[in-house]
Amino acid sequence: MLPNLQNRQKKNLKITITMKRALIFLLLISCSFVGTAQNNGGRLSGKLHINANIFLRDSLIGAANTPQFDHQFFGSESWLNLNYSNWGFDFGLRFDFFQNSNLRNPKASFSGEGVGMWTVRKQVDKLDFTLGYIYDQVGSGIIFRSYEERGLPIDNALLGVRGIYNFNEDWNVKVFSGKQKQLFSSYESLITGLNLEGFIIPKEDGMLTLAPGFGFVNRTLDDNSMNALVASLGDYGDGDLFVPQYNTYAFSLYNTLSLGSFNWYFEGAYKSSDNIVDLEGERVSKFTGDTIVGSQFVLEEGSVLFSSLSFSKNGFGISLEGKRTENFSFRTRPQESLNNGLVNFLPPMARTHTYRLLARYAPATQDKGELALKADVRYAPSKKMLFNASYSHIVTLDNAPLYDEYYFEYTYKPKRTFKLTTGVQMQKYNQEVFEFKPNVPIVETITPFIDVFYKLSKKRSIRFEGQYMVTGEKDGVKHDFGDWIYGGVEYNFSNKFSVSVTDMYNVAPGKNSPTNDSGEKLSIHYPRIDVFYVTGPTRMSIGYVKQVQGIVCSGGVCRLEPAFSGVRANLTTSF
Amino acid sequence: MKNKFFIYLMLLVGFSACQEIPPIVGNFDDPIDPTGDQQKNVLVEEYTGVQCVNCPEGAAIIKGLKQQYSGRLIPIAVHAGDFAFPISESNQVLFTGQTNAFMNFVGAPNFYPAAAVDRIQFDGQADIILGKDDWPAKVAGQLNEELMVEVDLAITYDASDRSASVTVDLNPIASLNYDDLILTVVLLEDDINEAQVTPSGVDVDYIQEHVLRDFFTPISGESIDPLVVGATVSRDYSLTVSSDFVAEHCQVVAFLSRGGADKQVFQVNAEYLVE
Repeated sequence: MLPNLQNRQKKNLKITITMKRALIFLLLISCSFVGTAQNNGGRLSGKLHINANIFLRDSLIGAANTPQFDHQFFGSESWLNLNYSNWGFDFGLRFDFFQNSNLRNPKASFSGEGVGMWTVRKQVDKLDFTLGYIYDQVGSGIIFRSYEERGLPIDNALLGVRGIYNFNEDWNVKVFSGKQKQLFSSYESLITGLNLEGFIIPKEDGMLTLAPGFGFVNRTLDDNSMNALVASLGDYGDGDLFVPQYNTYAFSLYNTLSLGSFNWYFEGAYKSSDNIVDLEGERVSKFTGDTIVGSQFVLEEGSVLFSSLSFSKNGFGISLEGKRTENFSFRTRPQESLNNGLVNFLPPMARTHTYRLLARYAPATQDKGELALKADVRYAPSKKMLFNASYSHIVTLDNAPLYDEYYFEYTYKPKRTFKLTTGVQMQKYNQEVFEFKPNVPIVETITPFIDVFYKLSKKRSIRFEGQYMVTGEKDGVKHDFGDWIYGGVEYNFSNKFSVSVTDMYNVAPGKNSPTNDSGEKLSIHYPRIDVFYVTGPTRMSIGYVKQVQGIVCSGGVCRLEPAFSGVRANLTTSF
Repeated sequence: MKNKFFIYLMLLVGFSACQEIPPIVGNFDDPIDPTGDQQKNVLVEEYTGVQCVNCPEGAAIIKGLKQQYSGRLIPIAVHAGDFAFPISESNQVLFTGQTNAFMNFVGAPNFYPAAAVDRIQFDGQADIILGKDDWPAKVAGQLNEELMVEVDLAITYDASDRSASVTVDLNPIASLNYDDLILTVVLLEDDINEAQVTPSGVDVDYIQEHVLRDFFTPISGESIDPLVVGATVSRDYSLTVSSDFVAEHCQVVAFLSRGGADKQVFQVNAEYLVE
């Protein structure tokens, strides 16, 4: 039989088995309903999340040339979580539905459905064990984190087993082993880990507490991935060739020290030799003799040092964070890129913004190497006022600038019906590194912003938001897309019903702004109108959206964050 | 004391057991002999664009594989998607509506460079489209696949009116009892000097290879009835080669595949337009 046919048959068999498992699981739950009716001991809860898009072609902004914009016109994603508890067991199940979806791949259409997650958990005395898809992390996630982030989309749950043994109230050890989820199947590499955590109060009456932890994770590469790596290395000359490793071991030691208003977290992590990708590699092809510039497999050890220090008292708060990263890409197989196959999570060191223009240039964590510092100071002289200043500074290990941000914010709330937030952000963003765009200048921005909230009555309120981004210039041309202005009004008619109207306008187009047929830069509006309705645990929204596109490159490959034009509807509820 | 000795002994045994036996690397000195009867060739459809900074690396990997497998690898560079829009240094447009439609038929990638290898969704892959680090192994694997059908090309080219005719013979070695078989025949051009974004900036002297230029068949191929062993199927096609193309640099590529949800390519072959 042909290997491909065998593979497909195996795949079909796997799908059949998965569906059978789901049916068995549903039967179990159905049976448990009968049981519940008899003994009233069961508890069922759930959550539903639906995204629906109507695609309206707009080739001027790039919302075109995909199946959705060209002929499908409608797409959706849905997730239904069901949780059931009875007889000391916790059961969880999630169905995922994708119909003409562009969430996983913004340039293509994907339709498929299946069991996205299932889990069974039981506590037996001091032992807590879980079987199925496991979401967990070790420490701050530097050596292991499995989590779901639908917007990105990331869902790297571990399909396997986990046991947690609680020695007492303060100390526990956790062991886990499994394979990382890959949509409706799983990668073949095996991930195994151990995590010991504790809580110490050195003096009974003292304020000092310690929360130490130790983590260990091993990833064993599967044969297919190793064969793929060996095949790639076949073109490497003697100077670049190395013997790849099946096994990589990562260790982490961490502790949180608390003393009254003072908190100090420290984590140090080390990863043994691993087959990783150097994005700035340069090698000679064994077969052609050509020099190939770009990503290159290398065998490197990795390390991360991360610390955060915070203090707050009497309206004053300060937090300082620092991180040093070197060769800490940790994936289930080295061929994966973008958000695929991530075993760990490196905490970002830049401030996270919610305002549209302030969030436009967000620095991605550089697992190859970076040195990052962040400081944040808050001061509230009274209940009516709050000052906030923060600074982020990220450089490469060779001290080349990556990202700088200064941020000042002032909040004034003289009464419960009025709140003013205003401030300014200044950024220097190394677009060449973060987006892999050669020879582009460091994007410099200055963005003042204002947010005014006014409560008109007990139920009605209005909010205005405005931002203006001024970008730097090189040779008389504005950086990237140039200057933007953003404005929005949100009106809450009641506790249940609200409307939001916003517009983002490319007021002074830059180097990368769209052009017309004669090559002139275009100033384009990106309006958005949304209607929200909330009732109990249910939240619904529908809106017309025009969204600017951007290109984000990472891991040696590039991904388009798509322009969008159309209608978006969203529903979330829980029961 | 005995306990300590026992612990040290266990640690020693444990660590020595952790010494892994490494894979054998770098033993690719002897390329496969291209002579003899038709062998299973491999189609690599590479999605690329002049704005894609990582694509020259992808092209270099394909060049190395082509060298390694002495012509049994047949690449098509599909300039499509947002990275394929021309830049200010461009002299011509390699991207067309047809190349974009061709890409959408196979499945557009969400990263570049990306490629489909024989249009197969391999085990452990979420998609037909593969990142560059998976190409060498998948190509090597496909070269070892059993040949199911021979694809032969007979080409005539008239330089006076730039008309090209091709006869494609499909000689089944095994029955292909599929009702969604399609034959696709395309025109490629090599040695195109066209500006390309590279990690060190725009390279105006960059040479683009095996660029998809035109189609003899519809983009989604021409339907072929199920194939029976011994019953050769012939198809004739023609087109006028654009005066923008250098005929001496053009080659015709024909491949038989399935055209439904499963798009597996059974065989591909290529011949230059002008000998």
